[in-house]
Amino acid sequence: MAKTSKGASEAQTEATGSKNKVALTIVVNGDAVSVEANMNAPLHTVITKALSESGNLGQPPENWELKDEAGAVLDASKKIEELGLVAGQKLFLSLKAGAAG
Amino acid sequence: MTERQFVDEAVSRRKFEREVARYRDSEEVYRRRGWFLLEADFPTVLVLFAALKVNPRALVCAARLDFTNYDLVPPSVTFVDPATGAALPMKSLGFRMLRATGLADASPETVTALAQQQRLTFQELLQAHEPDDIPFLCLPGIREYHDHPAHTGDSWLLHRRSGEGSLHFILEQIWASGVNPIQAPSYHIQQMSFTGFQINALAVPR
Repeated sequence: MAKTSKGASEAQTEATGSKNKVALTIVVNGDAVSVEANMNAPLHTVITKALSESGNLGQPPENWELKDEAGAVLDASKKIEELGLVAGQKLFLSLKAGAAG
Repeated sequence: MTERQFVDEAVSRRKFEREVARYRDSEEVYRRRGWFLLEADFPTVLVLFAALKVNPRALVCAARLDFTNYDLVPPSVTFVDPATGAALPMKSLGFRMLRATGLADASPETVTALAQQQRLTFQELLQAHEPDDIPFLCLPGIREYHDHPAHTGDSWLLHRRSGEGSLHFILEQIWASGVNPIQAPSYHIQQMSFTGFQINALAVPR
């Protein structure tokens, strides 16, 4: 029996069942939440959703930054598809540190 | 600094355990960053940080977080010798925690150019009055910051619901400002002094 291989984009979207949507795991200050995101939407839409899902409403979204596993800050103005994010990928939403010293 | 528990211990303990459980959920990722949780026994957590981009890999620091009275009071942070647990004075730390100033919106190209011209300015996040003093991490969300007389106007209670003061937040700040930027060891070679010439014995007249 011949095996059929799934394309990358199909694999990315199977978690949500929609071709334009992807489920991402966002770790908000250590607390993981799953957020459904539109591949064609800018990444900052995920920040708003993740803060709402996790109940972190004490600071405005612009005070947070989304990082990958290696700690690199992702450009929130870019589209999710453009950033090459895939279903189930773990991202870290961290509060920017306040004024120091 | 350790203080007496005056918050109901069951409350602090439950919040401490929640913080540790969240850490465990992402522990695999943290390990890849070079974070190693050595101990988690209420009220303290001990985390070792390694610089994985350096060859050979270096153990940069160990941070002890004290969650006594959490979260009516934020965690205290002390850098310790990972072998003995003794608090390290400023002069023995061997690393710095830095924040680049005036570059919030600068492009990577700008930062690189300024670094090449040695025109970058940094703010030191670890503070001590004397080299023999135990340094403290001067950031909102850290007990020592809010206890400092200079910050009486910036109460922890204004930050408590913000996410600052969580285990992840504090470890992230230590790593991002102190460990992740490390790219190579820095050595100071002491200047050599001239002590004379080595001679070829065969060339010496007999």
